Amino acid sequence: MDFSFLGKSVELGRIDGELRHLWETDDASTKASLVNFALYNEDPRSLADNHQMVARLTREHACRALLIAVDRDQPAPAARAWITAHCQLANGDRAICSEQVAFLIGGGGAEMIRNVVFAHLDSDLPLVFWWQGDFSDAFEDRLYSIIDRLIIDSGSWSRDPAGQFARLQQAHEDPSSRFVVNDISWTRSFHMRQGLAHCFDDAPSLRALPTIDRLQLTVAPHRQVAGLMLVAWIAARLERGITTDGSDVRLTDHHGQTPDIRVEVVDDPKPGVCIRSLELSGPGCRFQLHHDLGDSHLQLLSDTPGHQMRHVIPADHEDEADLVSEQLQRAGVNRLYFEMIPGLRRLLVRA
Amino acid sequence: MPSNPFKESLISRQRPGPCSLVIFGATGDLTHRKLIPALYNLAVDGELPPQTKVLAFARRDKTDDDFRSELEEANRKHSRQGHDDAIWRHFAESIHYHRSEFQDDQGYASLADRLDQFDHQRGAPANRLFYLASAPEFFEPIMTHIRQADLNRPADGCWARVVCEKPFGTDLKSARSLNQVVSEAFDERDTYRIDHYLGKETAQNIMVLRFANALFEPLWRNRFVDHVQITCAENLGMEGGRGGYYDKSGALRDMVQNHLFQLLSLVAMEPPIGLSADAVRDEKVKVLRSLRPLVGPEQVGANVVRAQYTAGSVDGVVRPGYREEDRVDPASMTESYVALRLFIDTWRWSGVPFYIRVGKQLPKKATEISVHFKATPQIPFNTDAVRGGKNVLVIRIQPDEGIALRFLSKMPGSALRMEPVKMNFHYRDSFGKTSPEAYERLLLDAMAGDATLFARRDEVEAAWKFIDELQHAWHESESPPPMASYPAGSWGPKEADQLLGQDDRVWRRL
Ligand SMILES: NC(=O)c1ccc[n+]([C@@H]2O[C@H](COP(=O)([O-])OP(=O)(O)OC[C@H]3O[C@@H](n4cnc5c(N)ncnc54)[C@H](OP(=O)(O)O)[C@@H]3O)[C@@H](O)[C@H]2O)c1
Repeated sequence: MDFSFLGKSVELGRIDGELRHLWETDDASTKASLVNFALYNEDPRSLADNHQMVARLTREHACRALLIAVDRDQPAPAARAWITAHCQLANGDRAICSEQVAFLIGGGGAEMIRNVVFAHLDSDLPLVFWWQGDFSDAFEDRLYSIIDRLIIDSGSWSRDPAGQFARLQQAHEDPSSRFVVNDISWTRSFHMRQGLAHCFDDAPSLRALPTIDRLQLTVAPHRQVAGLMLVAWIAARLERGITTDGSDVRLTDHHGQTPDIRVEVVDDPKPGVCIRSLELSGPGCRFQLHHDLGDSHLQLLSDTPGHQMRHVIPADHEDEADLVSEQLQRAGVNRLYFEMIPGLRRLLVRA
Repeated sequence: MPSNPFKESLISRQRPGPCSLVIFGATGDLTHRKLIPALYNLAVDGELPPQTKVLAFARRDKTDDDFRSELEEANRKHSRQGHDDAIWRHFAESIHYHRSEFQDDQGYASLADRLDQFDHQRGAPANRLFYLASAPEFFEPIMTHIRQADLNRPADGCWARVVCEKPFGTDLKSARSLNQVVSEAFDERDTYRIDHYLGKETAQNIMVLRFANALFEPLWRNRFVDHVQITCAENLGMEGGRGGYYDKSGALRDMVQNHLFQLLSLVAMEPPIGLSADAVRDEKVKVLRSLRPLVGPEQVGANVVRAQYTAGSVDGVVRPGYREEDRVDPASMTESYVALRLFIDTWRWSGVPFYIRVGKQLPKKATEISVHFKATPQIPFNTDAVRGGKNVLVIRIQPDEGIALRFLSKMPGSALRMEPVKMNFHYRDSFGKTSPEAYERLLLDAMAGDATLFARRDEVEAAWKFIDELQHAWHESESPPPMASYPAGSWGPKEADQLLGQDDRVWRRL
């Protein structure tokens, strides 16, 4: 494979010196860094995509980027490294640059990977770690205990998603860890969730909420997880249990005071956006959120007897880089996310 | 009413409920340049509460469509995040025009009808925010009519609030009477006096810097701080007909009474006991109350320098003198520049001077606060270089928001030579994004009921009390301190340099 696009090939032991040299010879640029941003993938081909990804993300987020690719097929322990910088013009004159160090590591196991990360962090800055794909044995406590923010995409997990969530939860609860989780699949419905909150901001809609008996979701087939998260979140917010019987899914009231909500998750016949529509309805009322392909905004409709309200709010991003950029911008903890997970695991087991 | 279960914790701040915003004087410059672009940008970010209605109150005859297209043009020019036709169209549907004189009873009766109609369309009564974007002389008729039409009384479970624009009075007496007028219609907790400096990101950051970092607070006192400077420089004069308003006001009343005293309070306040609006404002007002009064022409003359610019040039462009400006009285005694030496009589700040300067036609536009620390006591390092290079912490409010720290470092080489060097933090470089405009934050806070970034009645009155004495010495005493002068494009009068020179200090070079 040709990795020349990653910049200058350097020996691992000389990375710091080479980086210094990079800046010494350049007067017009300023090195900026707000976080250490590691992108980890167990496929060497990921380096090309991740290199592009960092080029895009550094437009908004100055960082020290560490691209780490693991080659599981390599027999003997070995590691290669490359350095480069991503620069953007600021105020039309000065270039603001982020450093990137790329690693290709083979045959060394978890410890070798971890030590590479440890050795090349910019001191004192937080570590954002994007773990791409399924968790492996390299995801262990001495690694995750130094992570401040863990980015994952649970929708990309290929093996036993419910088991992967259990693994994530266990790491998160481990006393040695302190990371916040940013799940790209969860971020895909961020504005949808805000939009749903908007729909119930007025009294007539709120009064109609307990009469709702149907939830319909149209989701792109490859984004099922994002859709199920939304269902699990709604159940958690309404304090409903989730019962499944074959394809029949219901949100049930433990106290039996409100009707069951029948859940239908429909594959979008024309996929293009992750979640095309979300509709909650009951006798005489309907709350609809709709996102059309190519539209930067979500259309909201609340329809209750004698009262109709329409509103637009920004729609969720579709593109992975935009989603990660949004995550890097937001602080926040994970209370709602982890509150939703037990319900999601039920739904995943059924699926 | 039960609460909205989906709303909780999605976002870190309270999301305001549906609201009707009535802007009095809505055909004016402020609405076009600031308020509408701010609301539009809130809509773009999805922060504007759903079912918001904007009702624009002014006296000229216009249709909704006329008015919307005027605003559209202004928004294209002034919006921070550009202009998207689809979002604008939806947002503009919520804007309506209401033609009436401020003094017309009928106009308020029909205003009440329209607000009821909006509520009817929403299916429930909504909150009401009245924004006084008119000249202050109209506050009284507007407030009286709002009260007579019962508009200040919110429906059950809702609120009614008022936002007042600056200037809030021209002296203590007028501020008190405005406060009285407003308080007859609205409680203090529903009164939001705008000071847009407080909406700026860096002003808000002063408290974070001071109280969330263990590093600074222990040093933030007379034992370690030599003095503090606050500078607000503008490189413009009386362009665009500003002279008419400015000549009646002057630098002291236009800038110091409100904006600079707010910055001073933030820098000098004690840690608040909580982050509630009143906890913060309780501490801020104590600073203003502890300002050592300057009474009589002698004290004022010794501690305050006032000046006007004479003809000169800024950035290569020739500028007229202040008295030659459009709409300025040729015999004007209004100051376009003022520098003050202030003392805050508290344990923390005893003996530490606070120097404030603000002026027009200075070389550049910059607002910043600098905290100058004392020199180290140790003899071996206390050389001339050290004396000239004491530690300075600079908080840049605008433009180029950020923080810089100056400290001494050894120059490379075999001799022990020390030079001041600078550690520099720029908001833009680190956070990548442009900060929201002050008005976006402030409008949203007023809707969400967070008054932390608004001036409270006692703050305004304490500030005027101090300022009144200076105005009195200048304009009503028998031997008023002189009016100094400075050429346009210079850093102010030499008298201001002498004010610091007497104390063996110099103004920071910006
Ligand atoms: N402009 C700024 O950037 C700025 C910044 C800070 C503070 N402020 C303060 O904000 C306030 C408004 O400033 P502005 O620049 O927007 O003022 P402006 O351009 O002079 O606008 C005045 C507004 O008041 C209306 N008005 C005047 N007399 C009226 C009457 N008798 N009945 C009904 N409406 C009447 C005018 O309506 P018609 O057009 O229909 O006559 C117009 O909408 C002032 O207190 C100012 O000090 C302004």
